[in-house]
Amino acid sequence: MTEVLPYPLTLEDTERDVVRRVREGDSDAYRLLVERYQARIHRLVGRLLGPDHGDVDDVVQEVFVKAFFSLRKFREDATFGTWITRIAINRARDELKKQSGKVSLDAEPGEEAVRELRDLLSAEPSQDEREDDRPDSPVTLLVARTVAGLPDRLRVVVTLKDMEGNSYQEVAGILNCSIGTVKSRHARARERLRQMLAPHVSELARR
Amino acid sequence: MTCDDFRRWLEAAGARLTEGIPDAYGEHAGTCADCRAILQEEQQWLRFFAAAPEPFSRRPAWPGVMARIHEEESRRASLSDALLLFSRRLAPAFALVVLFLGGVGLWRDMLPEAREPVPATVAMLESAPGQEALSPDEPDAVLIAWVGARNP
Repeated sequence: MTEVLPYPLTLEDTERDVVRRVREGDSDAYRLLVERYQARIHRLVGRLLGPDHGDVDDVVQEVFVKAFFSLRKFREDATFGTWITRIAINRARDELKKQSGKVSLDAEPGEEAVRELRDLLSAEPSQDEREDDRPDSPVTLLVARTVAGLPDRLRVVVTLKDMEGNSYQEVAGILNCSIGTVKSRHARARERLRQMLAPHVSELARR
Repeated sequence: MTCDDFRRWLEAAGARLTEGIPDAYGEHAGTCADCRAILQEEQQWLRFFAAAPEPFSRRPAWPGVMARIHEEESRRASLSDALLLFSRRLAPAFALVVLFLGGVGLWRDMLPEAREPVPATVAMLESAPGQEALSPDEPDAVLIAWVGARNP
């Protein structure tokens, strides 16, 4: 398994070359893919699981292990990035099913969080303010918990589109569904978010 | 520029909206209240999602991934060893048992007593109610029953 092929891997190797070498038994080549995608997969899984899930690292490792043993099934009709994103979404969904009912997302946000959110929505924050955002600041947690309160299918679309910055077409490619379906779920997700935030902020109310 | 052009651009722009608005679209938003409202709403959503935490790991994933891959490979190897043991030892033994039982079955079919006709029972010779019963000891029972006389 750890047999190393006679020629070294370089950063110039295309992803297809790397995948081919992993399939040929060069597990060290897989390291390149893991290192290339780990930040992206970690961010995505972390966002999908929400701020109250402690085992993101563990889930991310499982995603890469699953991908390694499924690599023979990878048909290369999509990029490795799209393929492993699908695996990550499915793994995160399984994890969400396991934790459903264990995590309460209905906790009332604190006054500070609501005030910060109002400030955030009412004006363009300065660069300094954005740099002050900490991962555990009240408004950051409020946003993360609100998104985590969405049903899985809507949360996935919002995460891929609004948080990861993919286009509708890219999201449709990842989820293997039509652009129309993505747009419809995206609109429903935003409507749900509006309803969830309505008791605290009026800025996002539909005009 | 029409409102449709503006909305198509806005839809495609996504997160790039934070990089600025091209002049032509900015001018349209300045003159069309509906499109300006949609633009402002989109900017609010962008600010909302930008406030979400960006999860990151301080630990590299590779050592853990590699350890798990090796662990899974050893598990699969021990499973395949068990299958190999079965195919090498138990499967031939199983085949021998099947062959033995099949041979015994064939041998029993070939025994002389197995080929002898089953003697007729009284039940097989019983007539319908009202008819005379045929005796299994009388070879001409059928003829006697039909003609009423023994074969000369």
